[in-house]
Amino acid sequence: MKSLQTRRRRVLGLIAGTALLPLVAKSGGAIIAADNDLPALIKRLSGNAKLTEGGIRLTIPELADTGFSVPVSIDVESAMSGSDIVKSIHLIAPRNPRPLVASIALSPLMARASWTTRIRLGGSQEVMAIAVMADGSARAGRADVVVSISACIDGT
Amino acid sequence: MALARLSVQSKARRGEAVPVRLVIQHPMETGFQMDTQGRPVAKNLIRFVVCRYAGREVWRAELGSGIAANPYVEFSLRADMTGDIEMNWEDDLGEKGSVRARLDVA
Repeated sequence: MKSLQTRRRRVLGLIAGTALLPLVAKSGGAIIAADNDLPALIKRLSGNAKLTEGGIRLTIPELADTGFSVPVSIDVESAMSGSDIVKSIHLIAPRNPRPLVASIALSPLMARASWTTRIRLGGSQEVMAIAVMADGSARAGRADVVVSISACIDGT
Repeated sequence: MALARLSVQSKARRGEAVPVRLVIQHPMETGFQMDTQGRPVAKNLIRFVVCRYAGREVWRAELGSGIAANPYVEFSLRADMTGDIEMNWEDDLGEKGSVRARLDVA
């Protein structure tokens, strides 16, 4: 009976080990490593500018039943004409395996500095958006979201 | 050829804010998932989407694994001339997709 149990454990261990292997191999990548350093990532995206809170709104449900598809809207207060232009917006989910969700370069052809999409979330977290303005200043907006079921579960 | 839908009105007045919605049928595989045999599923993400209006770039988005499957985008552009609204994208497998819609501006 005992030998059967040890064999079962060894098999389980082997399965767990092989399941982890690709993750370990991937996490060695330079891009991911750089992305997971959140302060460095924010610094890189904002072009070293000091982040000011406000002037940007992040709309996201307070409670998401699953993290597989969560609607997010980023709205920046900007006329999108003259010198009051948003150059780029960046969406960051700090608890995701790859925190940088999207980087969008905007142009004055847009009626509003507003962009909506659906994102994956690896757990409850404070999602963050950074807007870089044409004059080089940067704004940050944050919103808390509670996720019941993470998008980061094994596919098996 | 990926399936996609670009939803936009066909007519607009000059200066009007025209809402545009795009959805692309794509799995957005993160590379973190396993299949039923425990083998990793190869990463396959739409790396970028570019939106053009009458030949001019409106926005360019670089997407990551944090974008949900079947990427959806909504925004509004300022109608200033008659022309095509065109979306182009490419995924990690090198598969390119595009979709376009005409906007008549009076």
